[in-house]
Amino acid sequence: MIFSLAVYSAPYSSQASYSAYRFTVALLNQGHTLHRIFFYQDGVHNGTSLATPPQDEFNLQNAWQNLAKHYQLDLVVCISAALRRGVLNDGEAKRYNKTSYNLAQEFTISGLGQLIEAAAVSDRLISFGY
Amino acid sequence: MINDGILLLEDGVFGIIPSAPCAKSLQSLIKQGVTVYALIDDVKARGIEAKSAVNIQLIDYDKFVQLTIDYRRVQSWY
Amino acid sequence: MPKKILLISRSAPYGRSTAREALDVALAASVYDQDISILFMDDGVFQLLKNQHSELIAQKNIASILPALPLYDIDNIYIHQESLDERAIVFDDLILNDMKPLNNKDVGHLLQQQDQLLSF
Repeated sequence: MIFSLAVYSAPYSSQASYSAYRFTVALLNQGHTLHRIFFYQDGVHNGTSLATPPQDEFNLQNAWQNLAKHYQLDLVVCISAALRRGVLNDGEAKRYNKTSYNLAQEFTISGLGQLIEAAAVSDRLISFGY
Repeated sequence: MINDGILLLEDGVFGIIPSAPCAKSLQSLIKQGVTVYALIDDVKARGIEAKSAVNIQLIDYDKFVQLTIDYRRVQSWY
Repeated sequence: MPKKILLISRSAPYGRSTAREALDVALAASVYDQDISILFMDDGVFQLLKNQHSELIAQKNIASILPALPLYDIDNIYIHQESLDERAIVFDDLILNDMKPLNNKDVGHLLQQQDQLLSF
């Protein structure tokens, strides 16, 4: 079974991103294919490499990065949503003359079409958050 | 024949409590053949496992994944 | 083989970005040759009211984007009748007049016809 996920809420502010993470772990453990996770709206904050929660709290951004490394996941943040919210990769930072960038290495930045493509090629597209 | 299911998760799990505002609607749906589930970690996290209506199934994430396969279409009502 | 994809827009405009960003998905979808429909329900029906002056709060006018949907190959625009009734909104209040009104039962049928549901 080919899955894709859409994540619309920011981590920590809402439980939805964590729910998406747990769902992802479960589906991968069951041997299903994960085509893509598309982070949109406030969900793009899942892609920041600068989140620094206290040591004794769960670090969702790190958890996504570790999962992506282990399973070679396609984690995509929506470019228009991310730029508006100050989540940039190296290339976008240069393009807009910003002094720094914050998108974690395991994430890519791409257009909304990647959400539609995921809906088109996946057997199931599951949304988390709003 | 209704073949729909509802999964309560996150703060939605408070709906398992028989006195919840949505409890009557849920019970009426169950009577019509809808299966109602609640995500057990979200239930236990909120300390309400003992308060659950008996005809609501408490399930884990593995079952959550399986439900999205068993039911052809999935709509998130956030 | 194109898939039937339904966007369900349930948020009022402006207070959150959800309504606007759902609409952006609809507009972006057109180049992918899928069968895209959109359904406005719950507070999402407020997006369709006439006389919006969102420039007063520095936001783009959602009601001015909506008439473009058919140009983006979104032919099926549905609106949930009960959501209108609960909010005492009549068709004359709405910016689009060629939407298909659906009652609760119709919405159930519509959902069953889809391959994917995108909820906002």
